[in-house]
Amino acid sequence: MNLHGVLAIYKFEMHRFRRTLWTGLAVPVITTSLYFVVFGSAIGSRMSEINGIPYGAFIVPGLMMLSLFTESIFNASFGIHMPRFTGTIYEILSAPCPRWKRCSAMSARPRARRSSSPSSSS
Amino acid sequence: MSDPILSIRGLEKTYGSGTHALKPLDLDIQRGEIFALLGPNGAGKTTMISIVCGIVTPTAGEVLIDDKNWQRNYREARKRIGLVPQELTMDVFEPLISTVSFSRELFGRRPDPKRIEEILRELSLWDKRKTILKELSGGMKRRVMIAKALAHDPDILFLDEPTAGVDVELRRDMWNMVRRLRENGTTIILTTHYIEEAEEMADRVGVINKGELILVEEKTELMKKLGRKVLHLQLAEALETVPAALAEWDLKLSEDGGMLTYEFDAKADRTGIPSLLGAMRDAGIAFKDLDTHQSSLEDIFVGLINHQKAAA
Ligand SMILES: Nc1ncnc2c1ncn2[C@@H]1O[C@H](COP(=O)(O)OP(=O)(O)OP(=O)(O)O)[C@@H](O)[C@H]1O
Ligand SMILES: [Mg+2]
Repeated sequence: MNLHGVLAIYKFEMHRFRRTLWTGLAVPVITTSLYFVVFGSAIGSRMSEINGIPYGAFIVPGLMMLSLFTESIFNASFGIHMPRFTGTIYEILSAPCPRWKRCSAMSARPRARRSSSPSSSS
Repeated sequence: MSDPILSIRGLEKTYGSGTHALKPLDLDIQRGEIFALLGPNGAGKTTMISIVCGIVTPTAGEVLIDDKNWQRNYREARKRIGLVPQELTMDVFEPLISTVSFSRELFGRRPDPKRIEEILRELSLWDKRKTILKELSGGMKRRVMIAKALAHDPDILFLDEPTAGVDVELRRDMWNMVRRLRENGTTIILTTHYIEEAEEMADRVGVINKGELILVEEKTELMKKLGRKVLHLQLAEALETVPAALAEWDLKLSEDGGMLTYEFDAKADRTGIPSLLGAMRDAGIAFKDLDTHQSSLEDIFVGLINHQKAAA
């Protein structure tokens, strides 16, 4: 078991996450509020209720979840794509870790983000 | 001679694009040696190294590390291998010390700040440890790549053109470092275009061209075997042409007529030198000075490649 390796990738990704914290948080918050403002003013007044739930209570959690999932998928794929693009993937490829472990360590990060995002975007 | 740490058996690679980068290739690397792989651009050096390090999958063949298949025992095999790739690729926003420790842990070693400090001091990078990588110079980045490869204490080290773009002084330092590593028991395989580098450092030299290993030889043997010697004769009086009496030696006269050059095979039984000197005495040509010069690995290398071209 190459636990050190998995931890190293996890630490690295978390470090990158902290470094890009502000852009990582600001972008989804801004896009979500734009979405809410534009659609809310365009069609919000015409929508009274959906299945007995008021429009606001329906759309706000929906948009939040949407941005959380997009962010997490975007980050996991970016974490793999970026090293491929710059060439640094060579090191991870030549490391004594099975593939599934490398992937899970890389994608563990969006999970961490998922749990940290809601508090700030709500 | 028969204690290979690394054996390559029938390794072949055809890339998806159809490039036949490696023809079936066999090579044994001895424990503790420095092996230099020489070859022109596109010969397949990087391909071979990438396969051994597990970055590229071969079309056929296998690699044995201490007689164990490198894919079946990939955990152990990869822990023992360090790679300094040809290109300078790094996470440019990371501080130096954290990339180096990352490399160590990635290869399954316990975090060890002491060892990292040792490595960085050895490569004179310790003062820069907090610097973000993009702020380093090219030569420093090259050293960072080496530090990353050494971080997990590998006992087989691949250096893919380690001295490309490195100044003379740093190159000396690097050579010394490679020698120190070898003294500590690391086996080193390096590729290079600088023949003087192979000449200076390697125990054995392999020449690869178009995916074929055309020659593997002890460096000293190689120099002896293929080395042709050149005799320069500094004449007392300039000549206008080579006298007819000396025609059979195929001499070359320098432009000012002051020097005769005779090329001969140093390993032949009869070099032709005594008879040449005799003939010169008979013809009344005196010389002030003479010296012989052994052709360098570079001449040998160029000769080999041209020979192969001519045969194709
Ligand atoms: N990823 C790839 N996909 C397709 N073809 C490749 C790939 N990498 C290398 N090749 C081809 O394989 C051949 C050998 O390339 P390789 O990089 O091994 O050469 P090299 O000996 O390292 O050369 P250099 O001295 O320039 O570094 C070349 O013809 C190259 O075009
Ligand atoms: Mg190369």
